[in-house]
Amino acid sequence: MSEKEFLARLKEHQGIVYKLVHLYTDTEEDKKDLYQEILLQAWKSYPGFRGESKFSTWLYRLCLNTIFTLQKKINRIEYTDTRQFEETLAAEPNVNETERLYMALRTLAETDRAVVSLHLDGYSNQEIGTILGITPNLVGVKFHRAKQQLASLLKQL
Amino acid sequence: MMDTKKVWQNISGQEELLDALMKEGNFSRLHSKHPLSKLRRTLWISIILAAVITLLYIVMIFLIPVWQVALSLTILAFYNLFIIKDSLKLYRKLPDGVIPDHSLKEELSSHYDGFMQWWHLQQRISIFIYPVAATGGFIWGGMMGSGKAVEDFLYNPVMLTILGITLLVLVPLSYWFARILFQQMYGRHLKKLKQQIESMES
Repeated sequence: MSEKEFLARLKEHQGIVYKLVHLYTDTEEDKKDLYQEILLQAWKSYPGFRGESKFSTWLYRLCLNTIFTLQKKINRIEYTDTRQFEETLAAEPNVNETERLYMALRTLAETDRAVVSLHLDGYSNQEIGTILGITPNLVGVKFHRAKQQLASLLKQL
Repeated sequence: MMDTKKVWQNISGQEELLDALMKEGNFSRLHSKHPLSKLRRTLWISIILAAVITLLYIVMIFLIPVWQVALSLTILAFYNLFIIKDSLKLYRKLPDGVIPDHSLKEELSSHYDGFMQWWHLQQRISIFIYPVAATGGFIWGGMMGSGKAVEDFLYNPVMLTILGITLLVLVPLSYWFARILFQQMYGRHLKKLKQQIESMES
């Protein structure tokens, strides 16, 4: 396996890395730390990738496992209430749709953010359950709850 | 209302910071800050230190002509060997970073378990090795300072009382100290891991 080949596959799916890192951090320093750790873990683990799942699914798992197990030094955006979201939006009315979506997603609990992002990327409850290690029913419950919260925030947009 | 799926899927992932890191030749220069990798490095250093200390104990057994001290050192050396064996076992078991084949819950649990196994090892060291080593030092230092034989030094009721008190104080103290250190280093991280495991089930 050459570095070139690995890099080409990674570049094809770098959106996954970008989206997940932005979902859990917001400062440049934390982003850089997470990017570096994810890229290093991916580079170290890639020889063990047997192609039993899609590369994108493998990368999704690696990103989530790295983000969730990295030391608390990474300042994750903690769960905040919807009022804070409204106040932030009021202060910055010109943010684009992507940024607004991120702001809304960041109001969710950390595991719920993972469920929603996987859903938005087209994974089924069964697949999300396998990636997260929970039952598809629980995925459904979590997604329903998160969707309601997101809908109440995003309908104001 | 915005089409969240469309907005999400249209995010390209092009970013200067990420692009700068994704360059050929860059991967081998990256250093891991992953807690398990750090723990593995710490464990490896402690294995080497324990091996060096055990060798020193063995040399001292032959150099110190006091059978009570030699016996203590022999017990310590054997105990150290057991600790080294268990440390090596844990070292091989601990993954050097994340395992992408694990589900997130499995990864969080194995991460948490790795730290707890390390803590159990530290407990055994703190309860036995530190106090016994300190007591050995106390006897040896007392003998050297007073110029008396070990029997004369230890059969003094005052010294025996001091030794008893020292042991009674040192065992809980070293356990408490190890616990505080562990809490300081990993307490927040472990609490967060536990919360995440629990939140996955709710």
